[in-house]
Amino acid sequence: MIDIDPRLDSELRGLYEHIEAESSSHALPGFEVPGTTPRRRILSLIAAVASVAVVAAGVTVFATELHSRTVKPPAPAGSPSAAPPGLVSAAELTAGLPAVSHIVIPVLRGSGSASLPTFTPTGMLFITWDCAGSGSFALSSTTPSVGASGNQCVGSGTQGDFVSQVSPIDGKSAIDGKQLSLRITADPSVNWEIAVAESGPGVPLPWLGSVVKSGLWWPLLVAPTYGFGTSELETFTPTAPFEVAYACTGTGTIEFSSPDGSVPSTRETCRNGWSGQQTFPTPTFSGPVHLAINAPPTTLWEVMIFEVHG
Amino acid sequence: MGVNISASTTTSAAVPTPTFEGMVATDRRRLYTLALSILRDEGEAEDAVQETLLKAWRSWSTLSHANYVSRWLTRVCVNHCISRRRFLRLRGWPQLELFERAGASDDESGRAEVLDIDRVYRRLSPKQRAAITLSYRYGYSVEECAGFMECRPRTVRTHLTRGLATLRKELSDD
Repeated sequence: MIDIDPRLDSELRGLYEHIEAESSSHALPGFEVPGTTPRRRILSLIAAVASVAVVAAGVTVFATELHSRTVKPPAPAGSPSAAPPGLVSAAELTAGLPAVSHIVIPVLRGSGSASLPTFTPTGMLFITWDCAGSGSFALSSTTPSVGASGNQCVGSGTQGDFVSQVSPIDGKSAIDGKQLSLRITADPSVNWEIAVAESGPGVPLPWLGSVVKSGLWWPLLVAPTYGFGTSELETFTPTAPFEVAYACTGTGTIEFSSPDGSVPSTRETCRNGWSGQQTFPTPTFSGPVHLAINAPPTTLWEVMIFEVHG
Repeated sequence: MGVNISASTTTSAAVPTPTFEGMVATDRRRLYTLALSILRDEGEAEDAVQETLLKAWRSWSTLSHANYVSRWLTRVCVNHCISRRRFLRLRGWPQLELFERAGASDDESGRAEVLDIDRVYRRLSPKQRAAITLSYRYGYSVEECAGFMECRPRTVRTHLTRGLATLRKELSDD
């Protein structure tokens, strides 16, 4: 973009990182919609004084006219109203997006099927949605790499999220630099809301998939999976001790636990992209292992699981 | 994590309308960081965000149907920051003191470096800070910066060149 020498580049980067930290630690006051705008108040005052001074008889008529003009400010379409029944507020929906991301499609609400605005993603893509009502809700796109199906909205508060790698770390991304269109296919009775964010250039995590490609760690039980906050991984059935390789952003902790107690809980500290491995013994019972990940909502993580032999 | 794709067969293509509440939730922090980068004062940056959102609220009936809400907000915020600093300076507003926040970092040498560049950065004109922020921090092209700052691309280049030259000179003198 601009030609800049390495020293100044480094110092400016440090400055803007400092400003980002300053900004994120600052509690912003809520936005309050004014009852009446100051400009209208000033105009009303001038008009009233002028009317009194010039024509006493016209005061009553003029004041009545003025009153009728300043009753309410215009209500904008989609004004700051509460979320439709069953859906969380926009702030709640986006609160859990990873700290390393920024919004590319702000919270949109609708019902039934709809197409979202087209955009060109970079880095990693984060989609968070919420639906309410009884019926199906599916997300699809112009590329097979982005989408989620098989979601049923049952009553209210059915939430989900989706993370996709965009930058071609493995050299064959179908998304990077290309326009992407998302589409929601849902029953007409299903209300939904959705927001999309991206990490921007530079994926904030090492790509565990490169390890898989090297063929060093096999057999693979769970392929590299991105997520943020708390989530449950797909189930797997180990026949030997297994290892969980992971990476996570932020400075919180990441905890691996099993809701059914099939594996012991362990907790590690994230150190801004730090990665590590946790070894678990072979479960004492046969059957699939349910492994859950607990992390702060804005922590982005990547996990893969493989068996250890020998 | 569902990573399957579903075949879409429906033909309706309604484009949903963003809500004002959603826009506030998602853009408020971004605008604050942008304003803080230009103004370097938390209170003034808060005011800039409030003014920008107020203008958006007044225009929401037309703005909500546009696909350039984010850019519109950026342009309004940048221009408020530029004109606000000019307004304060013309009224002899005292130079804002260098911020001090205890415990912000435990890396003293890194912190001293940041304070150094921040001190010099604050001496730049608001337009120079806006040009550097938009171009360097957010990666906008000179033409895009010109759109946000409501001036010609050549003017943006001048602000960038002079601002960066000042930073270089002051930092090499230190």
